[in-house]
Amino acid sequence: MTRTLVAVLAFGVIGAVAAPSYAENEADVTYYKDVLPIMQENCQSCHRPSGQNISGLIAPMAFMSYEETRPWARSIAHKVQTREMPPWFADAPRGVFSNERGLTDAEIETIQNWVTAGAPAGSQADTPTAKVFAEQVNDGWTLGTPDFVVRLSDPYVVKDDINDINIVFYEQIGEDLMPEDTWVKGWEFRVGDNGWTHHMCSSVFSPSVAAELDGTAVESEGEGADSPDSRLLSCVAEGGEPDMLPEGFAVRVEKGSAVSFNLHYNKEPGAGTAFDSQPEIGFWVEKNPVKHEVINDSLYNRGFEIPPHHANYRVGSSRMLEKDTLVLTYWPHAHLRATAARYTAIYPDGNEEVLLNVPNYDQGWQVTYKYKEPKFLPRGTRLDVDFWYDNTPERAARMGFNADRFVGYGPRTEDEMSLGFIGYVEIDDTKAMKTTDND
Amino acid sequence: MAPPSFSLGFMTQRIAVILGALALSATPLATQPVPPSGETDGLLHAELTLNRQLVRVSLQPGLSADDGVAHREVLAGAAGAGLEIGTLEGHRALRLGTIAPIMETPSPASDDGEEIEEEDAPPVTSTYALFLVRTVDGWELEATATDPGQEHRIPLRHLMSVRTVPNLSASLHATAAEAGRLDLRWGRHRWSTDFRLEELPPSPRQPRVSGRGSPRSGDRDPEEVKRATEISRGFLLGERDESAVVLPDGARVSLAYWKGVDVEDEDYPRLTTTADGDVVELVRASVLRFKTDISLRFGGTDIPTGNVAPGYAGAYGIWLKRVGDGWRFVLTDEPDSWGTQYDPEFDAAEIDAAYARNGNAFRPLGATLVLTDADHGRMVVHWGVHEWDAEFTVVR
Repeated sequence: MTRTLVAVLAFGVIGAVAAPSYAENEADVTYYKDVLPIMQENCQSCHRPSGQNISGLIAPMAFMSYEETRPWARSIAHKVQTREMPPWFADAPRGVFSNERGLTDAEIETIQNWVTAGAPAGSQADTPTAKVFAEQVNDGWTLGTPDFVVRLSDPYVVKDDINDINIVFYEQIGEDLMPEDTWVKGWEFRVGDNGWTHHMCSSVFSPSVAAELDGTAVESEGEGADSPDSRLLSCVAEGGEPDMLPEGFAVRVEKGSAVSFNLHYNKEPGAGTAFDSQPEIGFWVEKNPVKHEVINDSLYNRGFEIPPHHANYRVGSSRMLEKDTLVLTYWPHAHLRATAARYTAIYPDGNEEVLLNVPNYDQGWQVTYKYKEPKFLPRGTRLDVDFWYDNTPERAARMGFNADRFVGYGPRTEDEMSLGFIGYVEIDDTKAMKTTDND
Repeated sequence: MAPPSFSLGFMTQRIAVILGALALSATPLATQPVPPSGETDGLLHAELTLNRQLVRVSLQPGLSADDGVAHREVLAGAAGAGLEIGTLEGHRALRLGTIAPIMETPSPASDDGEEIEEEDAPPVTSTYALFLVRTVDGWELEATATDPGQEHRIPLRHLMSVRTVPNLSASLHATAAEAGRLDLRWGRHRWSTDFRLEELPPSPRQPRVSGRGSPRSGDRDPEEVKRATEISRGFLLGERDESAVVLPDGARVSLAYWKGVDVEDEDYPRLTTTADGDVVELVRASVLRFKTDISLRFGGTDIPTGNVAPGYAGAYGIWLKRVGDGWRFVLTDEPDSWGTQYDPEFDAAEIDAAYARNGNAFRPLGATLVLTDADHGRMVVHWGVHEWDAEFTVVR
C-alpha cells in the first residue's frame, strides 16, 4: 500500500514536472495549436469519414476539423477524463502491446483546459500538417497496396427479412493471383460499407479440399477454423484492425488453397434493408527470408451453458504448450453477456503471470492485443483463458438479449462465445534455424 | 482462482443460493419445481449421445419381474416366449444387431438454390418397438421399425446375477468414442449387447446462391429461442458426449463429459499421482457437467436444483477427489470451468464414490447415468479400468 502510494506520488510529481509542453495556462490552449495534434495522433484513426474497411472505422462522428470537433468538446473532455476514450480495455499488462491506446495525463489536462477555456479555435496558422491515412492513398487499404486480392466472385444479397445470419463462402485462390506457395505477412479484410457486418473470419483451406469448396457456401453453425484441412488466418470485427506481422514472421499459403469468408451479418429486418455484400481479402507477401511460421488458432470452450440471471459466470479453457512458443497476439472474443476476459500463463515452475486482463470487456470493441515484442512461453507452460458473463435481466435490458434461458455457444450476437484467439509460432529447433526465401 | 471482480448482484445471488441451500439442508429438501426438459410421456428413458448421435431406450416404469404370466414365462426361459418391453431410438449411424447405418446422403440443392425437401432427406433417427425374446439358442431383442416390414434381430449376451433387480431397467454405456453397450436387467437376469455409431458420408456441399439464408427474429421469439437452444446444444455435443436419463414426468438428469480424453493422454496418469485431499486436474477437458431438472439425494447429501439459477435446473461441475485410499465426487457451482481450474470457493457438496477396477482398459473418460426405477439411480464415471459410482434417490 505504502509502496503504491509512493509510486503514485512519484508519478504525480514527474507528471507535473514533465507536462509543460501542453498548456500550462488554460487561457493559452487552442484547438489548432494544442488539441488538434492530440486528435490527429489518438482520435482521427477512427473519428473520420468511414472508408470501406470496417477495421476500426466505426466511430459515429468525425473529428477532422474544428467545426466537427467543437460541438463534442464537453463530451470529449468527459470521455478522456474517464479514460473511456481512446478505447482500451486491458488493465494489465501495460506498455507491452503495440496498439495500446490512451492519452497521457498531460494530454488529458490539455483537453480539459481547452474545454474550460471555452474550446477556442485559435489561429489556423498553428494547424499541424494534416495526417494522411494509408487508405487515402492506397485505394482504401490501410496497410498499403496489397500484393493480391481475393474477392467473393459474386455479391451475396442479405435479404430484407434477415435479422442475423452467419454464412461461410469459399473461394479458391486462382493461379493468376498466387502461382506458387507463398508466405504472407499481412492481410486486410474489407466487407464493404454496409454497416451490418458483425465480424468476418477467414481460414485457409489446403489444396486437397479447395476445389470441392470453391463456389460453395454453408449457413454456419460453427464451421470454421478447426478442420484438419484448414488454418485460421484471422478475424476482424467491430473495433478490430488489420494484421501485419513483424519482420521474419509469416503465414504459409499453399498454391491452390481456398479461403473462407465467414461472415456474420446482424441488422434490423424490414423492407428496404437488403444489401449486397462482396467481401475481399488483401494479402501482402513476405519477400524477405521467413524465420517463423505463424499459427492463428484459439483456446475455446463450446460446451457451456450460462445460467439464467447469473451475474458473474465463468467459462474456462486451457492448453499445455508442447513446444517453446512465441506469442504475437491475443484476441478474446465473446458476445453481449461477456464482462471480463483473462489470459494467464502457469509456468512449468508453478509461477503464474497474467498475460492479458480485460476487466471491462466490451463486445463492441473487438481488440486484438499485439505484442511490441513477441512473448516467450517455454514448453510445458499452461495457458488458461477465462471469460466471465453477466446474464442478469438488468444487463439484458441494456444489451437486448434474453436473460431467462440457459445460453450456450452460438453464432448469433444474442448467443455467446468463449474464444481465446492467439497468434503464435512454435519454436522448433530445426524450423528456428531454417530461413525460407520467398524468392 | 477468483474471478476478477465480484459485483453486488453476484454476491447477492451467491448469498441467496447459500441461504437457500442452508434452508434446504435444515428441512426435507423442498425446491422450486423446474419445468421438465425431457419428454413427459410417462416412460423411463436412458440416453447416450456420442458424436452428437443419440441412442435412446424407453421403458414403461414399474415392469416387475413378478407381474403377469407373460413376464414370468419369458423370465423362466420358455423358448419362443417374448414380450414387448419398450422402444429403441437410434441415430441413422447406429449399427446394432441387424440394424445397419443408413448411408444414403441428401441430394445437393438444386441449381436454383432451392433447399432439398425435408421428406427427401434420410431420417436422422429411426424408432423401433423392442421385444425381449427367448430363443432356442439364447436371448435376443427383436426390433420392429415403425416402417412396416423392417424387423431386426439383436443377439444378447446373458448372465444370471446374484443381485436381484425387481423392475426392468435399461442403461447405455459408452465403451469407446463411437461405441457403446446396452445393458438390460430384470430379476436376476442381465443381458447386454454392443453397438457402434459408424461414420457417415459427408453431406454434399451447397452451391453458393445469393439471397438464401434463414430469417431470424429476436431473442424473445420462442421459435427463435428453440432454434438457438438446439444450435447451442449441437455445439455442446460437439465438445462433450452425454449420458442422460428422463423420468416419467419429463425430468431430465444428464452428465456430459469432454470427448476424447484417452488413457494415453497426459491427464490419465494423474489418477495415480493426485495427492490425498486433491482433485484430479484435467488439462485436456472441461470439468464433468451434471445437470438435473429434479433434486437428488446421494447418501445423505442433497443436490438441489436452482444452485446456479434459482427456479431453474441444477448445474454442477463434478471433480474426482482422492481421500485416503478412496475417492469422493466433489460437486461445484462452476460446471463450465476447465479441468485445471478447480476453485474450492465454489464447492457445493461432496459425496462418497465407490471405486472399482472394471471394464476396458482403453476406455476414454466417460460417464453413465443408470435408472433402476423411477425414483432411484446410479451415477458412474469411468476411465480406463477405473470406475467410480454413487447411488442417488429422486427427491420429490
